Amino acid sequence: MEKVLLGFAAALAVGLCAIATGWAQSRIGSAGAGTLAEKPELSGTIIILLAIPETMVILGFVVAAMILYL
Amino acid sequence: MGLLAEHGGSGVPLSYLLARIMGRRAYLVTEWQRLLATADPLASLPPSPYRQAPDGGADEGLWGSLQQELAWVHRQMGRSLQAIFEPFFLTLELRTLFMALRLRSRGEEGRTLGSLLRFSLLCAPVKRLLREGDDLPAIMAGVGLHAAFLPDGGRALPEIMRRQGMRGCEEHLVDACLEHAAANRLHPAVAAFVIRLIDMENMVALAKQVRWRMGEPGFVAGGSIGVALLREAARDREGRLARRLMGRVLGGEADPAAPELVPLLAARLALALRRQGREPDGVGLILDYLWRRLAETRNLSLLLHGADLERETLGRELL
Repeated sequence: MEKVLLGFAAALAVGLCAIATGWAQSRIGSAGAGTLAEKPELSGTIIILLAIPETMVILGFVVAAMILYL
Repeated sequence: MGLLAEHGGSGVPLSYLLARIMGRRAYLVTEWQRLLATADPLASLPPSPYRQAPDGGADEGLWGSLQQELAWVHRQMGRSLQAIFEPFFLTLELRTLFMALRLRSRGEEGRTLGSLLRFSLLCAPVKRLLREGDDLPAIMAGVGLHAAFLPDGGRALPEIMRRQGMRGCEEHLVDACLEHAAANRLHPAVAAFVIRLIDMENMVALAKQVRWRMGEPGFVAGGSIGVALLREAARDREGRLARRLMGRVLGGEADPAAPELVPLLAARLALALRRQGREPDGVGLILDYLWRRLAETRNLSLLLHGADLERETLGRELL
């Protein structure tokens, strides 16, 4: 039973973070595409901004791993 | 049936459109007084890919690029956003409609009418009517069929055209459009814009009445001041009530005889739009951009045609 709960907690940790990352990237991605259409010279900045929400899902993955293996 | 063309589809994501608009907004002229201080204001304009330089002494290129920009914004919007902005685009396209009618009545059909209607947001049947319609009352009858905001289904339009001419017809359509918009449930930013636009129309009508006394002026219902109060102010020979009402709209004491009334009213509207532009849903930002683009084109046209005027006079008239 405990293993099931741990697995469920790990899934939640990574799943919720992935949903949040996806939502943030969809907003930043469409705004970034609009910005690039007007100012292509900002492509470096947009890529960095688009990558920032990735940290959320990476942290979620780390937390899930800690739940499962520590 | 509406007067405006419908661009199908769900449009681009709002955040994409807002980012593009914010990018384009950076090209708008903001320092008009500094521009006016230069030897040749039109030659000192900051470069912009979205603004066509005036061609010789004509401003058709300026207004053409504005039309093109408005059409671009309209095409990017989805149906729901187009519906939100309908009163704004409709008010502008009514001006296009009457500009086209004036060209027809002067016999200037060919290229000028074509370029005016090229980027117009009027629906295809109305554009066809404007190009091929027999005479002005017949065109107005056709337009009336598409003007869904008219309470009588547009049946009175040909008669108004015969009795009061183009000017009467234009006033009837614009007033009906604004009254219809004000009576409907609108997005808060668009509703506030419509109310301020009606206030502007009413204040200008009231100022003319106080100054020249030209019979009973037609006020538009739906503004922040009721029509009954406006009529009372128009009847007041001393203009005391008119001054108070203008002060209410402009904030502070105002003189109905002041020549710069329209720029003052437009400045209040622009300030309110800029404030609404900070709301997170984006509607205020789009409205603010469209208005600023419109004001920029009007100012450039003024600089072009008012090159002989004193800089001080021009400075007062700029929006």
